[in-house]
Amino acid sequence: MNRLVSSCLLPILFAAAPLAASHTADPDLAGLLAGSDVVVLGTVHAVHGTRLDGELVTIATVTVEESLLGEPEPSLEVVVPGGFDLDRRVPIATVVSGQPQLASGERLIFFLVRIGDGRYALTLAETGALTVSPDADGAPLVGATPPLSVGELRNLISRLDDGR
Amino acid sequence: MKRRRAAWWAALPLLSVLLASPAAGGGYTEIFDITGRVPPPDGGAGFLARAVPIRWDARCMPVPIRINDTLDPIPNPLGADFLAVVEAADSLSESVATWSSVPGSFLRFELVGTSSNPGPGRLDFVNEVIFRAPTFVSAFARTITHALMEDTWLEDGEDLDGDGDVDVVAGLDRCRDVDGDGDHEMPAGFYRAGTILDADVELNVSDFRFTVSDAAVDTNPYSVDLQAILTHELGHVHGLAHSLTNQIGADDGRPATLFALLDSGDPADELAWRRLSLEDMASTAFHYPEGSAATGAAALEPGDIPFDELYGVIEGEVRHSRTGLPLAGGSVFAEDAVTGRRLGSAVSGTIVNVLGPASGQRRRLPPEDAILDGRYRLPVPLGRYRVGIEPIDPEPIPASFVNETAREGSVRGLMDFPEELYDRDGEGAMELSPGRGVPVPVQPSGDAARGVDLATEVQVRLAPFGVDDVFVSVDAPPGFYYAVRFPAAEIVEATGGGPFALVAGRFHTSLVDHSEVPVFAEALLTTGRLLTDGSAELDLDRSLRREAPFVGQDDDFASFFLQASAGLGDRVRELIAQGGVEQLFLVLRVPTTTPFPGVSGTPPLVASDRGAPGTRGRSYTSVDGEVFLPTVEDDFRFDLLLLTEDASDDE
Repeated sequence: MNRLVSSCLLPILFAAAPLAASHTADPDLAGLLAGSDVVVLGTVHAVHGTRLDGELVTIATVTVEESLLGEPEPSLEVVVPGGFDLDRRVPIATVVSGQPQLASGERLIFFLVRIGDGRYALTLAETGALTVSPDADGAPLVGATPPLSVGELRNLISRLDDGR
Repeated sequence: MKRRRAAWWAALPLLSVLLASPAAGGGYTEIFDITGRVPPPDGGAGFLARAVPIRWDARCMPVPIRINDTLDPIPNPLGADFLAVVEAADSLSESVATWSSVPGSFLRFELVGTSSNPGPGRLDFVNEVIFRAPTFVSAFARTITHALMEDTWLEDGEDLDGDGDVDVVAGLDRCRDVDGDGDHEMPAGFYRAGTILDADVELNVSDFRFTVSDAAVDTNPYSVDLQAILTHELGHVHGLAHSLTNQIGADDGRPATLFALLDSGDPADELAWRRLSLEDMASTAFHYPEGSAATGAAALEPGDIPFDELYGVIEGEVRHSRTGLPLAGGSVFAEDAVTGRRLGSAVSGTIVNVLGPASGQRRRLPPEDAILDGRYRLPVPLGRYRVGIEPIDPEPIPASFVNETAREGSVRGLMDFPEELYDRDGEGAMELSPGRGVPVPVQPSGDAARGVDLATEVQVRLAPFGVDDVFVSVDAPPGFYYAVRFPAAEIVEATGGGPFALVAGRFHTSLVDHSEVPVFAEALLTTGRLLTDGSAELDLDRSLRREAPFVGQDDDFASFFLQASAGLGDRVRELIAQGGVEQLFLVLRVPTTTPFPGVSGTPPLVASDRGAPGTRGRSYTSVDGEVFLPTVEDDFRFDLLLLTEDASDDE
């Protein structure tokens, strides 16, 4: 199973199993974890646009609730290519396929890779931000099928990390 | 539950006009429109912004494309460089021709030459195909698009990219390079929010070898056909978002070209992306409808076929039954009523966010205010269709792969419903036969098929598994069985001991070669019992329901809809009460003959959760149907959907 992602990412590259094995690896979490330096549960505190090397990017400041992998930091900055520029007569949006546009207040599981200057990028682009949304009773669930509690995801990451 | 409609916007005439425009159809890449700079309803800073699709203006037809020759030959990470830019240009020409010849569409691309930008794609009014190392991520490719955020008059002499060169010229009839400096100039005039100004494709030469000939298409996942990738990316260049269609039909496992994932280990899957599916064509023609204007590129010229002669539009609204909200981000699809082939899809809903006041700032409103409606417009070739709704959940791709509206629905937790078909008068949250679809005719009159409204299902779901880790088993022998047990006591507990209907079983299936279809010999719902040695005995000869063959889905849950679900539930309830049923089993059987289809020759697969050590003790396998042994580490992802009176009362 050599499923690759166009316009976004290629998680199977991290997780592909040879066909001689009895199974093929599903890329989702294992692939994300394999490519990540840090995994955190956090909330986007603020977002703002800027240019890095001439490219319009959005920088999300994330308040970390819990570090699921890597050294805990109280907050960190995530750089996402694309965004929008209002500081001009004609406002222009830049859309980069494979990159989610984050909004303040969003609670997410972030799979992150260090890119220098103390900043991070989403691992495997849009796959590196898992939605945390409330269930019918308001409990937080991580976007998966079936949805996971944060505790279940914590255990899963711990187990997968042991296997790395 | 009655939908709560926010009152604030009714008092804002400008916004009401904004909301009155029709919902976007198909699945399109979106930006946020701040036209009117309307303040948000909560009194906070910024502007109310509606998600709108991006597209090229008709004055920019044909869209000029250049191929970047900074790296020539094109780097090959797997060995010696071999591909010259001039050869790559031939592949680009093919992709350009493919999209420029969609019947009923006025979209045209034109390959106008080369460019020599050594940096990333940027707003410079040069639409480039660039071969370069990726900045942050290692995909095959990415497309960068720049678009207007509000309705705008572009004035003569404007320099939009700040390079000192004029980008807007009065008196031009169309976008073109009037001063011969390599970038295109736009005619002065009025443009809608969402108008694309510039689009670039970056191809990742650090991780992938790009090839151009049929003979070079192989099973190496790091080697990929350039024309396939370019055809997909040119879909993004003109505004298409990713599609969920990864399996056109029961007899055709190929994806739509705009599906997000390419199996570069499967030559047939790779080559499929060179051609457009009917869904790709319908989405493009709807976005660029031939004959939609009296003058210009959208006007009919000799040889053109009007959009209305080839396609129609199915319209409706989707309600999320559990919350009572309009559904944002549902994938509405249309399957040919006779062949079952999927020929169209659209994302439901209209959403607003708050942007600004400074660049990049964005926040969400409460869901009642953020989701304006659950409307959809679904373009399809003329014909008769079964219309359905499925969640954009992680299988086969997450909402973030699609567009902003899909992501809004995901963030709100609305992607929690099973796939179902439109049943007209029987449509509702508590359908006994959600797999029954009433055909919707789409006529050549130009009138839309309106009022095809859907409500998502509210069901009791028994799902004894966690998230998927693996797909099993590539070495399953012919006739191999997978089974999952549902204890009678659990069913009684889940239904409160009252009446219930057994609506469906679902199997998360997949396969190795994604151009194929995961077809199983049969799916069964049957009874059985546990033996003292831990194995199970299943009654395969007298199953409660059987479907043979059973067509699975490519990395998604495939529904095994159970006929006469209420009667079936009554019968099972009676048997349980009489002590005649201890266990129900959902069973899936691998085809009994070989070779299995596809380049790998492997059987269809089922997804398994290999979560915490050990299993939930519900999954079994059998090589002969006689002895079902418990699995050592697998919890197969099979679930059972029931309707109860309690759920009905909720509704």
